[in-house]
Amino acid sequence: MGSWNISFDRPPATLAKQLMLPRLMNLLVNPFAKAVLAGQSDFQSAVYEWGGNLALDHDLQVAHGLPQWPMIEFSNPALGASKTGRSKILLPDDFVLLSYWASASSNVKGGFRVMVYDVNRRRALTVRPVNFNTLAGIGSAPLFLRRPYPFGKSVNNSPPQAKITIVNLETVGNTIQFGFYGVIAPGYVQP
Amino acid sequence: MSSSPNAAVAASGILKVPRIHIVDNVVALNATQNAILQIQADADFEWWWLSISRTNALLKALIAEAGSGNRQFIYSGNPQAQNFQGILVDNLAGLVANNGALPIGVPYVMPAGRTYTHQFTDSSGAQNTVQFAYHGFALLRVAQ
Repeated sequence: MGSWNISFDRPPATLAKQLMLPRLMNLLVNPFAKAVLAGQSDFQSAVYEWGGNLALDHDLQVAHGLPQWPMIEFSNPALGASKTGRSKILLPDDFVLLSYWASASSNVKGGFRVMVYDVNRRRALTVRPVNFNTLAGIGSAPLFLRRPYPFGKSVNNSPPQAKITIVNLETVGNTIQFGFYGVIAPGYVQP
Repeated sequence: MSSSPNAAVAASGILKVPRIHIVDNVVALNATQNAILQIQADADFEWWWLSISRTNALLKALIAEAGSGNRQFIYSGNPQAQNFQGILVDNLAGLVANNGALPIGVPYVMPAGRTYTHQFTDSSGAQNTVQFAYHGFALLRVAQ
């Protein structure tokens, strides 16, 4: 028996769907309004209380961390046609990843693909290269992780860091930005 | 019945007054300019959403919090990066009208009176008018 817990004689376990806040807000019946009716004292609070259980992690709300946008870019010079670029994002201790974001100046043939690897844990966060548009949105259309990912603390003087590999799919130079949105939340533990 | 408007204030004694702090700048073509956001002195500000409008998307921004070691909100993951100018503003947030405001995952409290430096760099080749709108609440202490 593997660890996947797959069984063909019973329906798959119900998994909650990834939801984007903009999409939530566009629902015909706004679930946040339901949360207000359920006794939340104000609408804005309801967005986060309800979203906390769905799109964001409620437990993070006690941390009051500094918002952070660590990032890399291939700009001046841009990443050459069909070239692969590698870089690292060094992170502060206790950085907790909430979402990715990305943009490319050229997106005719798919823009770029990206791989993300947690160096200290030696774990790939993307198993295969992911097209940037399927991994991340931009600031106006973020896809939040259902469970924020804590990168932890420095290990043997090696700060938390992510190795980023980017492959330009375009036949022209591509100005690329890729980064994380997250918070510094000491003591955060995934529920 | 109480006739005081403060009768409905939560037990914490804090009234959350909706407030929007604005940073406006007209960035000259291909220029780098700074603008300051100073939180109103009457109350701490609890930041919930960020929305941005700009003339042209080819505009980068850096934000730093003064008073606590100039903590950077936006920084290069590669400390050896040269001439780092920040994040393209469209990667940061969009318009409320397009459901594009970025929710701050963990609402962040900006202390009263603290300043936040914004550095804008235009690469559009034309004058770029930008506005950052910090949506949130003034945390007003109210005698009960």
